[in-house]
Amino acid sequence: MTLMKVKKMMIRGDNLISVINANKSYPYKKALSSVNLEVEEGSIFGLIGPNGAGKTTLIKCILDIYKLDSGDIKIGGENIRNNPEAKAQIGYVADENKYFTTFNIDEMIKLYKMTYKNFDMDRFNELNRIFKLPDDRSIGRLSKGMKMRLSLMLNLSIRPKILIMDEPTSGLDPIARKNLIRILLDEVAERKTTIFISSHNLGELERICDTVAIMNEGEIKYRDSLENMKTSMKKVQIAFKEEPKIKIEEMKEFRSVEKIGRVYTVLTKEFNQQLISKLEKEGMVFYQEINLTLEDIFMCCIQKGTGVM
Amino acid sequence: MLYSKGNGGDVMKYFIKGIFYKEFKMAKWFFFILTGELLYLFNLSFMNNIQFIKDAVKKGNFNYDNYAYTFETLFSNTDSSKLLFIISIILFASIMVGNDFVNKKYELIAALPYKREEIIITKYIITVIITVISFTISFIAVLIAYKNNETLLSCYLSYGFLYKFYSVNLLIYIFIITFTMLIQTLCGKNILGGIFAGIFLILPIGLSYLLEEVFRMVFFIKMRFGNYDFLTSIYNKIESIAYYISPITYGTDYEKSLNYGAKIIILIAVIALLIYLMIISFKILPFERCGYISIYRLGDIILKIGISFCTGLLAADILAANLTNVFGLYEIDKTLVQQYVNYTIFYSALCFIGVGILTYFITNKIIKLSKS
Repeated sequence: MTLMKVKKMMIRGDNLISVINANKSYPYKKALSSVNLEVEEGSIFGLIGPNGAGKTTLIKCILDIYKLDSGDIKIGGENIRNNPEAKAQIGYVADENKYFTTFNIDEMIKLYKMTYKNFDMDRFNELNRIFKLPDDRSIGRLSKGMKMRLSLMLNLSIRPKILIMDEPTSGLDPIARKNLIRILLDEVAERKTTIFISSHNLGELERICDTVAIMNEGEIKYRDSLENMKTSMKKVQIAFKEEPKIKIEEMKEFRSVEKIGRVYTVLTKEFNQQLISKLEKEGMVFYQEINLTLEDIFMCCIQKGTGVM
Repeated sequence: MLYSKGNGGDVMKYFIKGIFYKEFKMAKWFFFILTGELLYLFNLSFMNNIQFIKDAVKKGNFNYDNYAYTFETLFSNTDSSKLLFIISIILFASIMVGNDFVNKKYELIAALPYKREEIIITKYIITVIITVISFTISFIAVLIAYKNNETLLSCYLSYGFLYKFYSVNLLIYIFIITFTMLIQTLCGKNILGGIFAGIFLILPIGLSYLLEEVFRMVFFIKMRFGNYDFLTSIYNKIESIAYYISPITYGTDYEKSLNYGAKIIILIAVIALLIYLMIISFKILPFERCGYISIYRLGDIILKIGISFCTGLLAADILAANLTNVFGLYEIDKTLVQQYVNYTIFYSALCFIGVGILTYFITNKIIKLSKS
C-alpha cells in the first residue's frame, strides 16, 4: 500500500488527544510550559525536538505516568488521570522498554492478555511472523532491539485506539524499521488507529506523519500539517554574481539562511515576484526552488529559537 | 479468560487481573522464604524445647520449678528468630513496592490500565496473604505440637495463650508490612525506604533510651548521692509511653505494655489508618521523583532535622559515657563531682550541637544529590 493511498483512505475524526495548557516542572527545570496540543483521530502525529525539549515528559503525562502541575490531558474527551478505561485504549512503546527482567515472553503475553480485554493472540502471532521473536526467552536476555520488537508486538496486539511511541525505531535494524512503518500505515488505514510518534529520525517521520509539532525548551514552537508546512514554506537556492550589498542573513523575509560562497540557501514564506525583483536588483543571477524537508523546518525552528514561523 | 471487566468494589476483583499475576509471580518466592524461616528458626526451636522437657520427664528428673525457665522461653527465646522474620517481612514489603521504582519499571505499570489504588492494594493484599499463610502454617505446627504434648504443657500454656500469641503477632506483622509499604510510598529509594521503616518502627524506644542517658547525665548528682526513686519513676513513665506507641513491641510481654484486648484494638486501628494513608500516598505519588531519598519536601525537612537530632544525641551520649569514665564521676567525691558533671554536660551539649549541624549539612547534601 502506498503512502499516498493510505493518506487518502484516512478519514479524520475528532480530536482524540487534547493537551490543554499543560505545565510540568522538575526541581531544577521547567519541563512543559503551557503546552497545548490536539491530535485528530486516525492521524499520524510526529513530535520532534532536540534532546531535553520535553517530548518524553509530554508523552509520560499523556499516559498518566507523570502528573501535570497544572492543565489537563483528555483522551477522547475524558481526563486521563487515574482513568483505566481511557488508558485501556492506549498502547505505549517506550524508548527503553522497562520490562520485568524475570518474566519471559510467554509471561509478558499472559500479563497483557489479563490486562487488556482486546488482546488479540492471532494478531501477535501474525506480527511474530514479521518480527520473529525467539521462543519464550527471558526478557533479561533479550537485546534492546528484541525488546523493542516485543513491545511493538504487544502494544499492536491490544488493538489500541491510540499508539504512542517514543523513539520506536531505536535499536531496530533497517528491515524491522521498514516493516514497522508498513505495519503502522496499515494500522491507520485499516483500523483508524491514531499514532503519536516522537523520534529524532526526521526522514522517517516525514514519510509517514500528517501533522508535526516541534518542541523546544518545554514549549510547542510550531505545529502544522506537513502539507501546509510545505505549501507555506519554500526552500530556495539563490546565487549572486558578486557579493550583494545588503546582508542576506539579515533580510526579514528569510527564516533561515545558509551560505556557501555566493550561493545562499534560504527558507522563506514570502518567495514572490516582489522579493525576486528585490534580489535581482542586488545581483541575483539564479534561483531555484528545492525540496523542503522536515529537517529544514526543524533546524530553522530550533536555530531561530523563537519558533515563530 | 481471566480478565475482569467490572469495577465492582469487592476484594475478588484484585485476584483476577494482570496486576495480581505480575505481583504474585514475584511474591511467591517470599512464601517459601518466610515459611522456611519460621519453620526452621521458630518451630524447630519450639520442638527442641518440648523434647528437652520430655527427655527430662522420661529420665525422671523433671521438676516444674527447675524447668520453669524452659517453659517461659518456649516463645520468648525466639526473639532472634522473630527479629529475623521481621527483617524479612520489611524486606518483602519494601521489594513489593520499591522494586517497581528500580530501573523505572513503574513506567510500564503506570501506563497499564489500572487505577493507582488497585496497584497498591494488590501489592498489599499479596504481601499480607503470603505473610499470614506462612505464619499460620508455623502456628498450626505449634498447635499440633501442643496437642501432642498437652498434658505436659497445659500447666504453663493454654490454648487461650496460644491464640493470643497468634493474633497479636499476626497483627504486628501486618502492621509492619503496612508501615513499611507506607514508608516506601514516601521514599523514592527502595533500600533506604526499608532501612527508614525499620528505624521508625523502633524510633520511640531508641529515643527513650537516648533520653534516659541525657536524663542520667543532667541529674547525675541527684541520682548518685540522693534519693532517685522519683527520677526513676519519671524515666519509667517515658519508657512506658515509648512502648505504648511502638506496636512492634506488643508481641513481647513487657510489663510496660498493654493488655491483650487493648493491643488488638490499637493494632487494628493503626493498621486501618496506615492502609488509608498508604493508598492516598500511592495515589498521589509523583513517579518522576522515584530515586529521590524523600519524595516530598516535608519528608526532606523531617529527615534532615530527625537524622541531625538523633545523630547529635547519639554522639553526645557516647561522649558523655566516655567522659564519665575519663573524669571518674562514679569514684570522685561529692565536692568535686559538680564541676566535672558540668564539664561533661557542656562538652556533650557542644558535641550534640556540632554533630547535629554537621549531620544536617551532610544529609542536606545527600538529599540534594539524590535529586540531581
